[in-house]
This record gives sequence, C-alpha cells and structure tokens, in this order.
Amino acid sequence: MRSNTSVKMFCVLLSLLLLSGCIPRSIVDEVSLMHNVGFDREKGMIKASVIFPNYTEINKPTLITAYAKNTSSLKGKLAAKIQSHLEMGQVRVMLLSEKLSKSGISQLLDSVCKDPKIGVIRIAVSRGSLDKILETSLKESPVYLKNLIDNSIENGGIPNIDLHTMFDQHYGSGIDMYFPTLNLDPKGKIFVDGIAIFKKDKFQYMISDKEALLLKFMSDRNKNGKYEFNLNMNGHKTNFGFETLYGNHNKHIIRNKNIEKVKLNLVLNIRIEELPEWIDLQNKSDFNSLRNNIQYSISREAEQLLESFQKNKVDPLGIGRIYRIKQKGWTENNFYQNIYPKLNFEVQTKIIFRQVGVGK
Amino acid sequence: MFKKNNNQNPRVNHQTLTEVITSAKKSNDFTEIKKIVFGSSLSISYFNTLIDHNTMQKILLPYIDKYENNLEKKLDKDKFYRNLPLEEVVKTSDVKEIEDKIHNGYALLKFEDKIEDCILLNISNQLIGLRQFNESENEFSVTGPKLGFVENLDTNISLLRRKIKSPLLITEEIVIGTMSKTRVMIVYLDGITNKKHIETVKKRLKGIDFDIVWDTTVLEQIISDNSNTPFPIYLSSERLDRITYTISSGQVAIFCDGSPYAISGPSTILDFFISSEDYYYNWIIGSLFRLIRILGIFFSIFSSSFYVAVVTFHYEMIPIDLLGPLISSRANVPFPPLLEVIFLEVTIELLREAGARLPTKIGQTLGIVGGIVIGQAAVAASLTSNVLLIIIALSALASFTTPTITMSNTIRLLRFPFIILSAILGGLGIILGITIMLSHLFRLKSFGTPYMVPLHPFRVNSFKDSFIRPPYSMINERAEYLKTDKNLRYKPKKNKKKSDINEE
Repeated sequence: MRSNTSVKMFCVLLSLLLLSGCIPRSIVDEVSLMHNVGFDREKGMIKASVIFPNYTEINKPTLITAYAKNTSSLKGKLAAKIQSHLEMGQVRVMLLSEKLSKSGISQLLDSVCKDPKIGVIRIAVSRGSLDKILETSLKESPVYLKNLIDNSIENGGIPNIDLHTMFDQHYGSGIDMYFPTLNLDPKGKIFVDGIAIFKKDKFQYMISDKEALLLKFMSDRNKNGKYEFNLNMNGHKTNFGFETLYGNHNKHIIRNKNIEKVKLNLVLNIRIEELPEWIDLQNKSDFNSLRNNIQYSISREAEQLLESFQKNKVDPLGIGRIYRIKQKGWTENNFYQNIYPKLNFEVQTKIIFRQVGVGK
Repeated sequence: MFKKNNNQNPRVNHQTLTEVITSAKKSNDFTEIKKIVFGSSLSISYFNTLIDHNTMQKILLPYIDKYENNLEKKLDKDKFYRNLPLEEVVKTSDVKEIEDKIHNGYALLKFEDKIEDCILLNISNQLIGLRQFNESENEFSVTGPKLGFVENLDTNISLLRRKIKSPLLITEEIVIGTMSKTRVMIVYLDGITNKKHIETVKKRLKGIDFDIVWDTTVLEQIISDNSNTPFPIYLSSERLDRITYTISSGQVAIFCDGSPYAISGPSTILDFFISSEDYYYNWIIGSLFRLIRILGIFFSIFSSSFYVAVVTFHYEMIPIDLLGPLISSRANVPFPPLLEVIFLEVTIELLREAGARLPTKIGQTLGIVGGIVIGQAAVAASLTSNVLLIIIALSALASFTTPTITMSNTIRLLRFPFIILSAILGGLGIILGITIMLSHLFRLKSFGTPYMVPLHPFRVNSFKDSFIRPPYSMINERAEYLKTDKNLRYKPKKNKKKSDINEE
C-alpha cells in the first residue's frame, strides 16, 4: 500500500516536471511588452504601429510599424522586427485610424476578443494622423495616452469606455458602440476632442466633446464634467460654466396612442465656481431663474443630441434595449428601420446646487 | 515502527550485590569508604559525581563518626538506621533496586557485605550542572511574566504547582529510556481533562522503547499521530504561562526531566499562532496583533512564490506603474526568477542558521553584515533584483512573528515547494500546492483530534478564541473540540456600570 502511493506520487511529480516544458514562459524582462498599439489602413493593407516602452536604460522606446493583408499575419510581421517575443498582455491603449474605422473593425476586434491575456484596454479613434499621435506620445511616458483618456473619462466629459463596455456594445444588440477620439492641436499636443459613434463596426457619426458630456450625463454613472452654456438672464448675457458632481438618470418608453416617447429624467448635483456679480443666489428669484435656465439648457441640448442620433441612425444610448423590454418579438432590424426614426424624445433635468460658496 | 525490541542495549542483569559493586567499580567516580561501627565494618559506596558533598560531609559522616567513637555500646543497627538524619532512607535487599538507586545518586550503606542489612540513602544532588533560571529566551514577550521552565523536572513541577494551586492538578510519573531512565511527567486536571486523551497519552508513552530521552521533542516525535509531516502536531513551549493555560483549558501536558520544554496536546493549527502576550493586552490590541501575525504567515509562505509566478508567467497582471521598477530591477539579472529567488532564500536561511549557531554578540553583527552588506552587494553585482530583495527580507521578517519556533521552521520549509511549483506551473502551481497542503492538513490528527478544527470540521462555536482574541467575559468556556468534562472555566459577572456621581 505504502509503496503503491509513493509510486503514484513519483509519477505525479515526474509528469509535473515533464509537462512543465509545454508551458510557454514569458519572463517579464525577456519579452517585448507594449502599451500603445495603433492600427491604420494604407494601400489596402492593415498597418500596425507599436510602441515598445523604455524600461531598461539601454533600450530607447521605439516605434515599429508593419504591414499585412490581415490581422493575424500582422503579428508575424511585427515579430520579425523585434528582438524578443511579442506579448500583447500589457496593451493599454488601442488606437484606430479614422480611415480604418470607417471601413469596419470587426475583424480586428475579434482578434482582441480572443486573446485572454488582454485586460482592460482603452480604445480610441485618432482624428489626426495616427503616426503623428504615436510619435508625439513617444516623447512622453509610455502610459501617457492611457492616462490622458483615463483622465478625460474620470474628470472630463467622456463616458466610460473600455474593452468590456465595447464587448457589450459590439456583440450585444440594441446599442451601438462609441470610442473617444484623439486629435492634435496646432502646437502638437494630443487632446481628446469628442466621441466617434459606430454603426455595427463602422465609424458613422462624430460628436464634439460638449455633446459627449451630455451623452455621459445620460448613460454613465459617473457624471463628473464641466458644462457651459450661454446664459441670458436679468437682461444680461454671458457664457456661464459649472462643474457637475454626481447624479442619476433613468430612461423609459411612454406610449400614448400612436406616439411613442422616450422619457429621460436627469438629476444633477452641481458646483458653481464663478458667478457673475449680477446674480445673487441669496435672492430667491435669482436662484430659481438661474436653475431654470440651466435645466432648460441641458434638457434642450440633450434632446437635440438625441434627435441628431436619430437622424444619423445611431443609438449609443441603448434605446433599443429599453424598447426590447416592452416589445414582444423585438428584432434589431425592425426597430432601427421602422420604430427608431419615429420616436420622440423628452429630457427632464433637475439641478441641485450642491456647492456654491467658498471651498471644496 | 517500534515493534522490534531494542536488542542493541540489552538490560544489564546482575544477580548479586557483589556483581553490582564490581561492575560499578569499573568507573573511577565510584567511591567506597570503610568505617568501623559497633565493632563491625560499615562500607559506604556511592558515585561521588552524583551526590551532594555538603550533605555527605556535614550530616552523614559526622553521624557515623559519632557511632564509630563509642565502641563499647551494643550493636543496634535498627536504632542506627532510624536515627539517620536524612529524608529518604530505603531498606531493601532487591539487587535491581539497589543498582538503579546507586546510579541515581543514592549512597549504599552495608554492614559486613550482608545484603539483608543494606540501606540506601538519598544524598543526591539533582541541581549539579543545571541552570537555575530561565527567562524564556526563545519565546520572548514584552509584557507579562518571563518565567520559563528549566532542565530540572522537580523545579518545573514546583513552578506549575505554584501557579495552579488546585487539588485537581494531577502529576503522573513514567520512566522512559533503557539507558537514561528519564522521569516523564504527565500533567492534567482531574475531572476536567477528557479521560480519553489522558489514556491515549499514557498508552503511547508506555509503549515507547528508546535508549536516551534527550528532550521532550524526542517524545513528541515518537508519540506523534503522523510522523511524516512538517507540521508540529503538539504544542511545545518553555513558557510557564503558556503551559498553565493549555492545562487549564483541558489539554494534557508532558514534562520530561532534563528538558526545559513541555509539550501539550491535543493541539490545533491555530494554537501555534497564539502568543501568550495576546492575553496580556487589551482584547482590541491583542486581536490586532494576532491578525497581523496570521497575515504575516500567509505573506511569508506565498510572497516569493507569487513573485516567481507573476514574473515568469503572468506578466499581464502586473499593474502598469509597477512594471517599470520590476523590469528595470530585473533587467541585468542573468538568472531566471526561480534561481534568483532560490539564491536569495538560501542566503537568508544561511544567515538565520549561522545566526543561531553563533554566540549572541557575534550573531547580531552577522545580522547586520548579512542583511545590509550581502543584500546590497548582491543587488550591485546584479545577482538579484531590488524588488525581490525587499520581498524576501519582508517574508523572512514575517516568518519570525510566529510565536512558536517549531511552526516558524515549518513555514521556512513550506516556502520552497511553493517556489518550485510556481516556477513550473505559475499561479496554477501555487493553487496546486495549496490544495496538496490543505488535504494533508485535513488528514492530520493530534491525539485523535482533528488538527484543523475549527476550520475543518467547521465549528462555529470554537471560533471564539481563534483569529481574534475576544474579551475575557466571552472566553469563559473551554474549547469544544477538547471535549472536556467541565466546559465552564469561570462565570463572568455582568459589569454594572455605575457612575460615581449618583452614589453620593
């Protein structure tokens, strides 16, 4: 009995040692890691531009590009140009050029989707030249692009978008995916300038960063952002801005005989940092009038945005999903061809002044 | 395992008294003095290395001299024996007993070589060469009593009896060892400790056939439920407070002459992470320290294997901010992570082992030399990476927090299989190692009681005094798994809050 168990134990240990040869090792300093990957389309080929970061003193960060007819052979072409094994696991930002996005990206997303080592990555569309953006980021730290997008998602006006939300939007029905767009300003600095909304896997419609903030109010749990509008009150005119802190939103479908309406309730807690001297918040009429002005402005602009979505046949808000709850036999084609163009929108905003005085 | 009789050391079988004396005379320290008392010759024989010379010269010899001087009196041996001013006087004609007692420091008095008139006098000195005090050096605590056991069994039992002044405290003696004839004491509380446990201990101790018992740890290994385990099955401690606590909670303690360590059982794995200091602090602070200690154990076992697994296989789970420091510190290291870790772990083990063997003062210097100089030099020579040096140093530090040395050694050992498994299979290897370790632990038993209780079998009630140390009002019951005859230790009174202001 005893010898039997020890023989078994020996076999298990031996198989461990033998099998270990089959497991590919990727020792962290002996593989080529990358944080930023860009995909472009040039002359009917897919072009991949990859930045290898500089963590050791000897190696400088390098930008390597490769061309191939399909995405799976891209890896081989890239691997031919680098000194150690190519590993995708540390990719943090995937940049897609406008040209490629317009021609469809489902093939590319499929290869990303099937690699289990790829974790949370941010996907962005480059409006300017992709190569220039990558070259500019070469001068900064390797996580510069990731931090840039992260920051505009947390504090700026961009809704939360990463690989997981993309999977949900792309492979799920009743919603369209959207990515932030990157652009270069005249001085050569990279900035987030808006959101690219896709229909299926093709870039369809672009909204500005101001509209992106409204989309964030209506879809994201995090409602942090800076909103500005033209205030016309008490006979004065000025551009007025404030910071939104938190809040909530809910949307539902209201059916009234023949008219179907999407109703969106928005509650926003805001902080006012600067007030024109002709507004006195201690004064009740001033207070109410300012609040009504803000509420009206947000509601109106949000409605306009929803209508422009409707016009361009995109649905980043997932209205199809809400409608699906109420309708039996819902199909995506039927909804977007027959029902979506006829929907009416109503946005109701409630503003709560949370911080108006001194201090944070 | 111990079925065969020990044939290497056949018991000496002397038939007559003369044979005993001749055999003893082969040793140079055996002394025989001849005196004339009542006109007949009186011989006193003893091992002069075992007896107390003070008693010999100041009490026994003057007493005999008194009789030697008045020759005219009539021979009255009985009176002579009765009046001996000594505590233990044994009259016997049993050759076996005479031989045993001579080797225990007794002096043999006999008239004209007649066996009927032999008496044995206890003039032994049990304290020769033993230290008198023990400040529990190896299980140090900041607060609380520092009293520890010494190498003398009687001192230890005396210490114990002075702490537990109860008629319930029973000490039973068993002699073990064909050559050492070591006195082994089983200590328990009558009517509280489970009788089955006492019987098991007695049965196992009586079944021992061994030549020299050096220490209680030898007994611990022989009576162990499973000797093929790195885990200590019974708690061994040199602290008086620790052993009185285990006895009072219903465990059986075993003392052994010549050993400052007592062992007590049945123990569970959590017993080894409890320090008596926990009970001297306020329960909040005591619980915090205990939790930190348990966390330290996990850190100590898994940190280096986790490093190997992450660096070798799972680079994708490294946070991006850590990636830079990790890669740049490893960039110049020529070894794979496994060798790098093994190299540093072995260095630390060498330092620890060398520190333990060296005298205290040199040991401290060695710690500094080893820790700072070797560590820095190893990094500068790019034999290891900075990050790993910190991880290994911290895990070594964490393993020192374990209050029992035996368990601390186990943790030292456990790290290596985990490191090797993680180098072979990565994270899967660590999980595999944990699975093997847990299934081994679940099978362990201490005097027939599951070792992992209350974790397995899961006992909610026994969780009271495990990971946290609750206030004394809540731990007034003995642990369920010990199956004691009386569960209640004391009855806490509800603390009525009175404000002094209202009383006036």
